[in-house]
Amino acid sequence: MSLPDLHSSIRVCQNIPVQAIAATTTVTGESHPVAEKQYIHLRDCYNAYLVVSCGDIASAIQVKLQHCDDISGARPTWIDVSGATDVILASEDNSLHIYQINLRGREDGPYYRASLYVGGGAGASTVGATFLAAWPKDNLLGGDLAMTAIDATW
Amino acid sequence: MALPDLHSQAKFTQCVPAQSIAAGATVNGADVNAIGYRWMYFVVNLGAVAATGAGALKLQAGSVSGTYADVAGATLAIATDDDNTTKVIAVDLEANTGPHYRLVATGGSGGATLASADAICIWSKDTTAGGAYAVTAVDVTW
Repeated sequence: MSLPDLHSSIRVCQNIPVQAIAATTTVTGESHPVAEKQYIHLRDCYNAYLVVSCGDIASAIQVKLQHCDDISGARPTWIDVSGATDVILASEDNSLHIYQINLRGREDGPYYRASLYVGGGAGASTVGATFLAAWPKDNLLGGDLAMTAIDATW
Repeated sequence: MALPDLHSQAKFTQCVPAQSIAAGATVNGADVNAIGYRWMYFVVNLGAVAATGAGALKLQAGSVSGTYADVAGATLAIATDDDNTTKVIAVDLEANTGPHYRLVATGGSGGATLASADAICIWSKDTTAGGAYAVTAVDVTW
């Protein structure tokens, strides 16, 4: 079996650019200026992974996944995905967290974004979030949903 | 053909934790042992970057962890207008000797650069033969 290159079967989408999030602040994928890149349509994929990279964590970070069925309006309604939450502890400086999103048979979405809430009391936390969406269905059928642009090959 | 889940075929490594890289400063990423894998990808998440003076990413390789040399030609600039973007870099592990690698990030001279970098090593040769290189622990499945 000839396995494909990763970049021909996956899309990489920045959801929350790396930033210092102040205490008692929530940052979501849509609140940043590059709005069109902050959420991702995932219905065509089998699996997605939300990858949260942490640096210094001053207070615990609550991670949530939110979904939306229509982002065409001025104020789309984002809803927490039931059960899709986690807490990254303040002791977990310089850690990587990987959340798998099983897309088979889901009825929510098809747009998803991350929500990060930094708790209060001890300053800012530095963190960023990226979606990896794997195995676009059409790709298996010879389609061309492969869409990760490689900036360089070394 | 049923393709496996990504995490059962890939190793994720945090190379550069999310941080603010001071103007002109260099951050050496963590060691990635890529032995047994076919491809490695660096996913670099950039926040606000230095407003002046380009930053840079480069690859270093070594036969053992802790001793590295620059890989010829393996550099990529971080432009001053790369704010809030992602850089994806593919490393052909059959074209490089390694097997230890690290990513080195240098901030632009005109201010801080917010960045993180993770490595994804995929297609362990042994896994395709039924080996046990599957190594990514998923925190939770939603």
